[in-house]
Amino acid sequence: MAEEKSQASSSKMLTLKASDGVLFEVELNIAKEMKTVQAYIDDCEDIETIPIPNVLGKHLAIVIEYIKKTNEEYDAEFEKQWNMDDLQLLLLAANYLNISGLQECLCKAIAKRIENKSPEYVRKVFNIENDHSPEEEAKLRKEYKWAFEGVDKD
Amino acid sequence: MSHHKLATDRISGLPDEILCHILSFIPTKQAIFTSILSKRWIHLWRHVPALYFINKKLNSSQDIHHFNQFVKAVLHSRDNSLSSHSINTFFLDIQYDVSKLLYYDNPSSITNINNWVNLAVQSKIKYLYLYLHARLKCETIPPKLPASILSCTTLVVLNLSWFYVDKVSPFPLRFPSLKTLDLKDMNFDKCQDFMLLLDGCPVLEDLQLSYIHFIQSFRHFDFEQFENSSLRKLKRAHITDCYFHFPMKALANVEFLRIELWKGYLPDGFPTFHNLTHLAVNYDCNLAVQVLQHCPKLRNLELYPKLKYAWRDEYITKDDEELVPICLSSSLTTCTIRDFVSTTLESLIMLATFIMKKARVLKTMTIWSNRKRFSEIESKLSSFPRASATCQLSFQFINLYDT
Repeated sequence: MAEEKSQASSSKMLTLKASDGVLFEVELNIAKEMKTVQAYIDDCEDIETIPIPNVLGKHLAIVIEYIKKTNEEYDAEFEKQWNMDDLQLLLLAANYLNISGLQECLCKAIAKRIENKSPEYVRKVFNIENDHSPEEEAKLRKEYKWAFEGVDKD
Repeated sequence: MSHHKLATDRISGLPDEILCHILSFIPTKQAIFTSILSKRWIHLWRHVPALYFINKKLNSSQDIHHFNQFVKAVLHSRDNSLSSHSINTFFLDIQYDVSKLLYYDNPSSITNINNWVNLAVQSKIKYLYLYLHARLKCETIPPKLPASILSCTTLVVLNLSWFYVDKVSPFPLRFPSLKTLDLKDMNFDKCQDFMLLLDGCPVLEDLQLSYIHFIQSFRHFDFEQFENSSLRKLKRAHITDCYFHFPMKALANVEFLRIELWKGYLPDGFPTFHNLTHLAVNYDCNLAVQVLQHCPKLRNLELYPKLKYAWRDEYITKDDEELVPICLSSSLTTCTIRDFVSTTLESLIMLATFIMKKARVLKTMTIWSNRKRFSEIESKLSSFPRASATCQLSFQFINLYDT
């Protein structure tokens, strides 16, 4: 009887429900890579459908595929396919779901895209609202004058 | 109704930790700029646990002075923050023009590197990358490696370029956590110092060595004193441009090996590489065949030329089944052969046909050559009978003058 149970759990399927209602059936060992989901399972053992309220179906699909395929080669090519918006949403998803490998991969990818770009470019790309007053900004630029010297305009 | 695409600030939805983690992959200079992005970003850069200084244009004393001042200002700014002690990555990549700066006359520039490294070591650094490039360095000696590195037990990755190491004391648990060691353009005083360094890396997985030199003369068997227990966990090794006899038995467990053989190696020095599935070796040395004899499970073989000499048919003198390496007939699935300006077409074809004749499970044979030679190589090889029914021939075009 114990043997049957362990066999069943290794191929047990779980359903993940994305924020837009899209359902994904995944194997338990894949779902366990998402530490947030693992915690959910630990809390309620018999659960079959787990809601993922912060992640769209489109991104959850990408995350699941990443977990299945991740290796050095896959990771190197992975980030090239996504635009900045998707990368950020994927990072938010990976952060919420607590998947360390994917977070690392995405942090590096985003860093690569903003490397050696000016603050103005970075602000635009991330849509960050500049809430510094002109005086505050000037003060910061002065304080870090030694860093701002010799900046390449992007 | 007009279709607005709302621009959303998504990045602000991430916690500080993640933003700092992103910043840890970009140069510190740029991380500092982010302080002007918005109020939230003012202090984030100070909590980035990585220091990353890159400057390829230190061509005058003034350049060096400015750079030193910059690093000093960064370290000072971080000093007051709570997380000043948590630096896990220190990355320094600088290039200086030796002819304009005789650094041994200007000790302050190197003393600063010592101070920065000491600070990193005190902060229990894990990932340390020190790349120095001296332009026109042929007749100069590299700067001395900061001694504190040799007793930094927290290191996980150590990459060094262009340093002189004078004395390494015996210290078996020197680097108990070191997984990656990459040494390039390094001068060691004696080969024993180099061996002692490797002896102190019990969990090393990745080893890269190129242009390693020894100031004092050495003999072949000096390297045989290598402890058998060292490097047992080594998975990947790259050894190129090293003209000494690296103890091959230390590499017995590797899965990936790139090695430049030269005639100093002895055929009976090779162990059985029982985990080796990927080998990249120069084919202009008859030892290449000997190495293949010791790789029973090899799946992927890359052959490239290093020296002027070509593959010679006498490397496999008979069609004797006994002399054909086992891996060729039983495990090899991928083979890549790189052409070179001094390789004759004849020898390239001899090598390729030898493998195609013996490799029974070969799936891909790829030849890297230029367009000029391509058609002749293709015509000779495509009709050649292959031992493997599934073998595909493919080509990649390169410049024959590139090594």
